[in-house]
Amino acid sequence: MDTKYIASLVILFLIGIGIGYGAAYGIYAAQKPATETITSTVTSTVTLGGGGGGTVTVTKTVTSTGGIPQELDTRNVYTLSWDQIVQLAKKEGEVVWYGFGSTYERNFFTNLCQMFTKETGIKCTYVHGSWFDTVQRLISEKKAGKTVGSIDVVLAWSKPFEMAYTAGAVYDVNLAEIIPNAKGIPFVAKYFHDMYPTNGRHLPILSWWVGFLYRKDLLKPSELPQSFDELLEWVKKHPGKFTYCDPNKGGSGHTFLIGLAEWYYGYDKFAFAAFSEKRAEELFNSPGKYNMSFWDYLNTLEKYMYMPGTYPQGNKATIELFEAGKVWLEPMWISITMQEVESGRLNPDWVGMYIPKPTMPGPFDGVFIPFNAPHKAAALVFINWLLSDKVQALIPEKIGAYPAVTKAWELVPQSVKEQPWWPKNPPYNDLITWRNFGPLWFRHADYMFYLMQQWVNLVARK
Amino acid sequence: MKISKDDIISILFLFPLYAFLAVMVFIPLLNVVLGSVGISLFGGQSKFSLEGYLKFIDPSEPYLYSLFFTIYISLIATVISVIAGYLFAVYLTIKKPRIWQKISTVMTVPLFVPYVVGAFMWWTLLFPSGYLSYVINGILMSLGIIKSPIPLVNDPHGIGILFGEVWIRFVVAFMMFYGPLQLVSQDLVDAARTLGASTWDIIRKVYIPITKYSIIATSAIILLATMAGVSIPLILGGSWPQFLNVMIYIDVTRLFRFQTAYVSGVFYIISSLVLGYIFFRFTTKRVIIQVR
Repeated sequence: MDTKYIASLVILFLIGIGIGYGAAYGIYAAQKPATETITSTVTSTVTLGGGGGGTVTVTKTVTSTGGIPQELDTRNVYTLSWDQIVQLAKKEGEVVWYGFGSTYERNFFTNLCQMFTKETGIKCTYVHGSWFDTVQRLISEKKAGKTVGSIDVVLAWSKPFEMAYTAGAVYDVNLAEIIPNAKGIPFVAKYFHDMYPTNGRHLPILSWWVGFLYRKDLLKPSELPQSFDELLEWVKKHPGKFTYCDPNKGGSGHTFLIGLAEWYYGYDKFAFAAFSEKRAEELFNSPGKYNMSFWDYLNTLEKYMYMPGTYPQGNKATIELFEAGKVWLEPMWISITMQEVESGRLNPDWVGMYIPKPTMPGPFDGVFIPFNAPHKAAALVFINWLLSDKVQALIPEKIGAYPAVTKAWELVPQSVKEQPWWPKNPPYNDLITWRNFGPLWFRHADYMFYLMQQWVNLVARK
Repeated sequence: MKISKDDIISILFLFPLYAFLAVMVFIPLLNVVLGSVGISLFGGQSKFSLEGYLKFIDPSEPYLYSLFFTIYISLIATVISVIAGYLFAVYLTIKKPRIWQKISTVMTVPLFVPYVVGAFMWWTLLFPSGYLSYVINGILMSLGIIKSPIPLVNDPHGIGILFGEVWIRFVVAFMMFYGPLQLVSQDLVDAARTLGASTWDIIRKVYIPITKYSIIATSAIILLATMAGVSIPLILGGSWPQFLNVMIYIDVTRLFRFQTAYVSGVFYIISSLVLGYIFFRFTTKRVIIQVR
């Protein structure tokens, strides 16, 4: 072979290695946190023993990389102390929070932002919108490769979070490990949302819950169905006095549906189980209580409900039926009940709330940081602040939800706990006992969605 | 083929329009069609599949029935709106009541009220404790037609949707008929009267023949608008059956079944195109002739 040819190949090979190394170093340098490098020179003088004697002076240069990076990524965040994160957050100086909910939630979240700004000096902006739009926007930004977005914190429930997480639109760090105040959240809720594993990328900040709203002025506690086992019998005895929200139009409806299913076939059938349509189809068509399939049970229940075949189209429509005196018992969000009473539309003397046996599952809704959040440190500090006892204790009073941090319940004023919209039957009358000793059930998002889809065809259509 | 200077100028002038149509009309439609077979136009996971179509045409699934329900209710709403709007316009044309000039602006209210607000207004009236519900059910019960109150909203027969749609579409129909009716020569009406025609004869033999293409075009517009609306069927409709666009809304925002939503979208587009074609293809020329 021609020597020149081989030499050219070798040179090209070396150039290739050089380019490859250079490119690799460039990528590494780009990913490496920009650190404040501290260089110091240490001079040691060592006296040598031995007959010859003499002195050697050794000079060493020591480089420290313990400074604060310019911005957080998925690796350097673990190397910083919380104080350093706070320091960086103040440097960022701003956090933008996207949330959703009713006007009560909007006002509360807006006020929280103002409180945060006042306390920390970090400017907080709250944007009230739709979780669907927010998540779709993040997914689009991920697809488009937009590395710097405009949202720092997103309030989301399980499905939107799953969509964002699956699309890679979530800041991929374990918030539960980094944020100090997260330790107060129940362990399962910290790592699962509606049984979907969050790996700590989503942290709950509150817990909206559904209970059974009943006419306290007409029904004594002993006259109520104490458990789901007694529900059908009660509905038969009181025809037209029970209803539930269309599961596709309101959360009280689908939460009731999955709660009923978990009771009907046993919680162990759902608890953190894998999902497949085949299994769901088999399960919900298999005989459960009363030797009926779940769909047969729902259709039997329907016969004795308020205007059989007609379901209220949304949480608001459902509670309006209660307010109009048409129904006496219905699954309803505690928060909506509170808001209706406070706005003067629902007579508080009518309001009784309890959770039937075995229990009602519920969601722990919370926040995540988008992959391209421009102020990640400020977002972490803000979430930590949201999880502080002081803020958590405001949640029951302001929006009628439970705090995510259990012990914050101790700080909730007794006057708030005594309001009629909180479940009064034990253990639900004391959140700490309930959370610590159960029963604390969760919704299984996939089975719940399956029920919602099939319900149209197998209950409403029928 | 030689491209002349004029051609280039035309292309340059029309380019923004073509670009606008491509971005705002063609690409979204293409996205819906491709999405219905599992292909993503803007990146993301793509896998060709006809599953959505198979699901749509499966009678045990709710989609096909929803499409029929949408067309059925839209047709009824259109017929009621067009007849009521036409007769009211004729009444004003013939009688010319003085009070009309004072209250005519009230008629336009439904046009400016957001559909959501209008729908919710009807919901509060037709809701089981709404006064209209009491009145209608009371009358029907006193006549012995029904034994117990029937649901007038969120009901399986689409009664609530009809109230909401007709409230808005009636005004649209009236506004569209009123203009053409004013153009009908008074001489024709007077001649008919001289020959002994009754008011009903005049409507049947003078007004309707002269304005028949206006009636067809208005009907087409109202039908398509009713089919396309989502706020009214969402608020006033029931759990079953549902308008197809409500199914699309639920599929996208609640159940995240994008492919089925895209398939429903394709059927919607096809239905709209077919209806649009039937009405406009056979009426446009005649309308032009009539105008001439």
